Amino acid sequence: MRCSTPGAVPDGTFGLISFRGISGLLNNNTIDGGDNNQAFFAEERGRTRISYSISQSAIREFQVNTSSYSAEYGRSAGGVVNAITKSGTNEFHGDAFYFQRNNKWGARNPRSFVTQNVGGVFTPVAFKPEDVRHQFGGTIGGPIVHDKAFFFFSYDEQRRNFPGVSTFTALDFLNRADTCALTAAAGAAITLATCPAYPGTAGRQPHGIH
Amino acid sequence: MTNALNFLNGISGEVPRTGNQRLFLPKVDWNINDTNTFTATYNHLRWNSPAGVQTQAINTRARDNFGDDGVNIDSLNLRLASTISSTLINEFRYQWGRDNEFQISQPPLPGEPTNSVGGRSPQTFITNGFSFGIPEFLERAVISE
Repeated sequence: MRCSTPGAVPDGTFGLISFRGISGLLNNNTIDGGDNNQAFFAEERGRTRISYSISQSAIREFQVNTSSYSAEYGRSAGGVVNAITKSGTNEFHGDAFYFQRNNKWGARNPRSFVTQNVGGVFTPVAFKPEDVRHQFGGTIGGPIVHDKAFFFFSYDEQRRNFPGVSTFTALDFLNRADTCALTAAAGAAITLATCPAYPGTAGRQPHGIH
Repeated sequence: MTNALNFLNGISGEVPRTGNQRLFLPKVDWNINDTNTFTATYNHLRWNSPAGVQTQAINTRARDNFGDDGVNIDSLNLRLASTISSTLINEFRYQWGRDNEFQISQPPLPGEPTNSVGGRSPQTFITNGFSFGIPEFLERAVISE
């Protein structure tokens, strides 16, 4: 949403946003006007490893100040993003949500392999690990004392199971080393690149390593 | 040679990894009188991700070389919004907050040496091939704001 603001573009690939070409580390993130920055890196609290630091369903509105903003904001060379949380009212209101993202309906990563020892031969085997996210929660708000006091409560939980794949820079790393070791003279150095590739894996490297 | 390759094979493969996050936010608004409103908001976050320092689908690191990731955030915002006159308003804000971020190494796998600090396996690189043991950037104790 922030990137739909004129002058705002993604900064890198880890979720930072640059305003007017200023580094994504020089913004100011606030909630209800209060500080929500990670002080060392000047990113949103929790940095980019967490999904978000406040539930979307708890947000009533947000504003993106890109430049020439009021002295009320500031503390930033880039943009100032302020989110306003919802409040309870004289009527009870609530919502509930559930989202799922599941790679069951997606293709296997073509670079995903594990190595198995099949009959004494180190064999790269195509592997598709699970990757599923469940996101659920809700909000409730209402009166404590009519026209006088109000409450609001938001709950948000994410559960993700996404096993990683530990592999080698060459998909057939172990096979190459093994093949060369069987044929090399005793004490001779093995140069992996010159060892014969496992059939079907030549030129296929994992995760952008070439 | 075969033992060495079997060892490397044994520390590669599928890496159990999860990322779980829990958030809750209670908020109370109190209209003290016609001109003053007091608001208290608390936001709570817990993020726990075993083996979640490395988020890539595929990695040339051993199963114990990913690193565990965690974040604890708590913040309390207190606000008093006052209408002083028809042309003057004031908002007094107080906040207490903390953002604890930490990354710790995983225990060694069977067969790995355990002679690094804390019984961990020393970081070992096979040039252009693979790495195992405690990652060079861990342990990262809590950085608190």
